[in-house]
Amino acid sequence: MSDELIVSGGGVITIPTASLSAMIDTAALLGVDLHRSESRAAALAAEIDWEAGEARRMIVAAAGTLGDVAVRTRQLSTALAEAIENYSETEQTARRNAEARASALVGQSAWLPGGGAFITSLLLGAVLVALTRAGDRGTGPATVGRLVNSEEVTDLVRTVVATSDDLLLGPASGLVAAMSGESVDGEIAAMFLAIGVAGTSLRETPVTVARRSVESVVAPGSLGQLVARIPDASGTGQIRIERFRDATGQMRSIVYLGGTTDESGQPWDMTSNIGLMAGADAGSARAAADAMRTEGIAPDEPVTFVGYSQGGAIASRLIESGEWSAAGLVTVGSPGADIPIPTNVPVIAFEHTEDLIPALAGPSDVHADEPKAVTVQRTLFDEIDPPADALLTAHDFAAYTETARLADATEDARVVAAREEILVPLGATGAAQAAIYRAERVIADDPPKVVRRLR
Amino acid sequence: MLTHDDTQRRFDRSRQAGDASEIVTELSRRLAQMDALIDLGWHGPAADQFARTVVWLREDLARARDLVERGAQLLRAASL
Repeated sequence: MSDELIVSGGGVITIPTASLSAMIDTAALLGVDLHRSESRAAALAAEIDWEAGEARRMIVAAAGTLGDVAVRTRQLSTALAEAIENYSETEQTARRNAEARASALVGQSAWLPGGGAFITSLLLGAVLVALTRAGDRGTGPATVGRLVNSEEVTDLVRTVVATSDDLLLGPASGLVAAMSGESVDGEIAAMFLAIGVAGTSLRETPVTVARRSVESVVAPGSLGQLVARIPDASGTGQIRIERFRDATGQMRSIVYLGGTTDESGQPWDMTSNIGLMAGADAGSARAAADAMRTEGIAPDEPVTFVGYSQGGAIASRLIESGEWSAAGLVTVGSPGADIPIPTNVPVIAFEHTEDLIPALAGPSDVHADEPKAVTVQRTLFDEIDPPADALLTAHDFAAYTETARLADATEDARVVAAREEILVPLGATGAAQAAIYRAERVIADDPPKVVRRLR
Repeated sequence: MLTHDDTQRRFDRSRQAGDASEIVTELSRRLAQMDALIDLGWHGPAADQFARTVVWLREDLARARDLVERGAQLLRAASL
């Protein structure tokens, strides 16, 4: 498990900067040292007379090679510095090539039932299966665990999603149809039967929200604190709202949104997940907006949104709606990175490279050219194997909390800039009031509640 | 019977062999430094190209060290 962060966005993509800076310096110094070795060998060769001609020839040849290696090593140091600057472009070219290959794959699958949509559905289905079953048991078949926690599968999902915008329209419209009760496309229905979520209700419902608790707290001062305060949606409530006056006397809010739970009868469920991803109605987003209105947040009051998993997608949709004055967004393992939000809103998106959930949004560098949107990635399984029998381990909330703490410590310029833009306005003059809201679905024949935690 | 010139020449060869051996030791250290550059800790087209270039440089540096080492052996033999 690496403590090193991979930072992208902020207009430019960077990679583990501290170690790369050290590499550049090492290569430059090595070039200087090799020039010294060249000079030393040349001086030695000059001392050797003709009687030891063979030894002299060898050392002269060695000095020539050393000079050449010294020059090329110093050039390499310069090239590495330039390569880092051009990394975004290089990676995007590589991604375009990968997308072209994936498109070819999808095109070649036209003979399959449903063609490209079939492949896309299978991939999304695998994720849905993982989500659904993680809530059931927290474990799964060994092979599925390895796959679901693998960076290769995550990359494949990102690439296929990036190439399948038009193909996804089929499944998305089918899902919307399923939720609205209109006729359902046969393939889509078959897909849900196949992936085992057919028993899950995908029909949207009205929702209610109720304030469950209020307490006084100190406003958060770090990314780690922001992330740690995201509520566990299977606990008291799915929404936490902190309100306080900032140093200028302005009222401010921080809205924390939890991740999916499969507790029945509440809207932080798969129905909302699909609605959020399809850009359709989602009960959880409606509930969050209702809670904000109940709390008295005015349209011009600066709001910082913080969301884990589904909570990140809800936050993005709320900002996209334009109803709120977004002052910042922190997402954690969110599948909503491709939801368009204004470019003047500072964003920090935490993603683990093996986490399938954020991969559903497509490539991790979708905001690479946006100066205020920074994606902070971390690899969990570079030194150890992912657990073979656990699903979505890379989506683990505790691991993300640690990643946020690492981002508090990093000196990467882009993270520092986004961190300050998000955190500095949160400097409260007094105590903040934290309210927890609980949302429920309004269902005619409410079935008995089964509480299971997803995270 | 060794002449003074023969003695001086052997002394010079021995000293030169010692210098060459020191250069070999120095170049072995440079090779270890070069090894540390091969794994950048990240992956991508630029990183892969960088690693390939370092491998080529390492091969050339190893060849230079071998040449100096053989030169040192010849000088040592000539000092006996």
